[in-house]
Amino acid sequence: MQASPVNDPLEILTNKGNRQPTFVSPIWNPIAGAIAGFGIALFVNWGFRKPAFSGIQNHIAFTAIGAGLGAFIDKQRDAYLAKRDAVLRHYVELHPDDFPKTDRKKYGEVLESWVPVR
Amino acid sequence: MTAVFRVGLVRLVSRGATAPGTLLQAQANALPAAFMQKCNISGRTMRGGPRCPKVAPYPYKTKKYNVISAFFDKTSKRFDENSKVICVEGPIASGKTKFAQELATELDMQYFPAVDLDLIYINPYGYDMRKLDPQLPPSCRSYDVKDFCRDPNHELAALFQIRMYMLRVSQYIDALQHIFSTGQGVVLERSPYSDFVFMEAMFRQGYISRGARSVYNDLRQNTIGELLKPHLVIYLDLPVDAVQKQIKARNLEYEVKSKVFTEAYLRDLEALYKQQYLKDIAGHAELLIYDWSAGGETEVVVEDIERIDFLQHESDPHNKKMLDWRFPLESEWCEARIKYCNEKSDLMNYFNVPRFDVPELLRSADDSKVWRDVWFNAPGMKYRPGYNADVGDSGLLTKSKMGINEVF
Repeated sequence: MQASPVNDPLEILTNKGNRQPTFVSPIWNPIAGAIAGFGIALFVNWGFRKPAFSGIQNHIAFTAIGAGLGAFIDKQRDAYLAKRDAVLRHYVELHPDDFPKTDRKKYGEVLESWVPVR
Repeated sequence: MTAVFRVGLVRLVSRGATAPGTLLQAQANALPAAFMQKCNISGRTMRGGPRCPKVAPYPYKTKKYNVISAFFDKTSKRFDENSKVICVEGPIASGKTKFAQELATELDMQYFPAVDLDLIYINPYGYDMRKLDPQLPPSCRSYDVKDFCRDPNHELAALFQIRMYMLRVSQYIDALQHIFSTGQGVVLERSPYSDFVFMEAMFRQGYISRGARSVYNDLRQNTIGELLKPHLVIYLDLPVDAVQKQIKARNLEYEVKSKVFTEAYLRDLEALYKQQYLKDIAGHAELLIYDWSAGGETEVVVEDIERIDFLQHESDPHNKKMLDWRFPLESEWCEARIKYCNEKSDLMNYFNVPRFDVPELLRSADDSKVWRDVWFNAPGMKYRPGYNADVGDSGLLTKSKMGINEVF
């Protein structure tokens, strides 16, 4: 992808669709929640001195609740970030003077050449 | 002035009955129905039939009773004149069991047998944990009443008596659960209140140490106040020589051969019973004492019980008798019921008194490890009751129900 010659605040805050999620990232939280739920079911059985897998319906329910909770957290987080970007975009659109487009500079242009003085 | 109103009221409530000729007759006609509250215990013979409960008993062994249940199921509605805790006390082999059973039958009450360590050593599946003794270190082996009779100077004697007290407290809580949930009275054989008599007699004979006695007293002090004292204590009195004769007549091998039941021990028991326990409990409960040296008639005792007026102390709020059983509000009845029916484990937790200064009550970490490994791998001990596939429990894959107040 070619970098834009200028720093455009609006462009930075816009989803350009050029970043694909990895395989793991959308399923990470639901899976972690499901494992935690299953673990809680095992722990409860251990605490009440029952065999690890007795009352398998509880394991299933806890696993489902854990997975649902993970998916819910993902959804809430995405919604939060999208809303934040939208608010920022809107603010930038309302105050274009405060957010001018600036030229992209390289470090070579910013840093002065180093002259050792002894 | 009051008499005028009273006569008027009496006339009012006796309307419809046969017209009274005189004032006195009017009172006599009206009083039994309108004013006289009959609140004495009544036996089966006197009632002329079995007890008829006002409200169906609450299935407290299968159904929890918590704050939410208390909204829908009140407590005092089940109580009647026969909802009483009766403790039968007396020296060894005095005929308490037979008497208590007969009394319970006659009064239509629930009989609770005397506790013994079988409640600990026989597991819920009927396996006798004493069979594990050869695999256990000496400090963790079983020691029950037979062992005590055989060898009272054993170091586990103190632990034995503390366990007896714990079992008595546990059973007393069960009895309170029963009376609160069903309104049926209970007859107990000995009680946690009288257990100290044995501890003290053992201490005087040198079977338990001063430190162990102090631990026992700490435990007692920490737990006994949680219970409600009995309404009625019946003491079957036998002189020491009669007790010794009864022990011989009963002819239980471990009792007859035992060196425990000396004259001194039995005299100590009698003195402690009479001078401390009975004196103390008489301040709260009604007390009946019978000379039982030649046995006795249960009917006679029942007649005496029927004559006791349990309500006479209610009128004076400062009267200490039956004080434990005075709950002014319905919510207090329900709170007490929740405490015994739903929070038994919390009550038993009061036995967790951290005393580490008496060596015979402690076991080393190594011994405990061995005990734990052996004890919880015995048949039916790996999991809580109802969850052990090795002794034939089935349907475990979908089973999640747990018993109420289950020890596990």
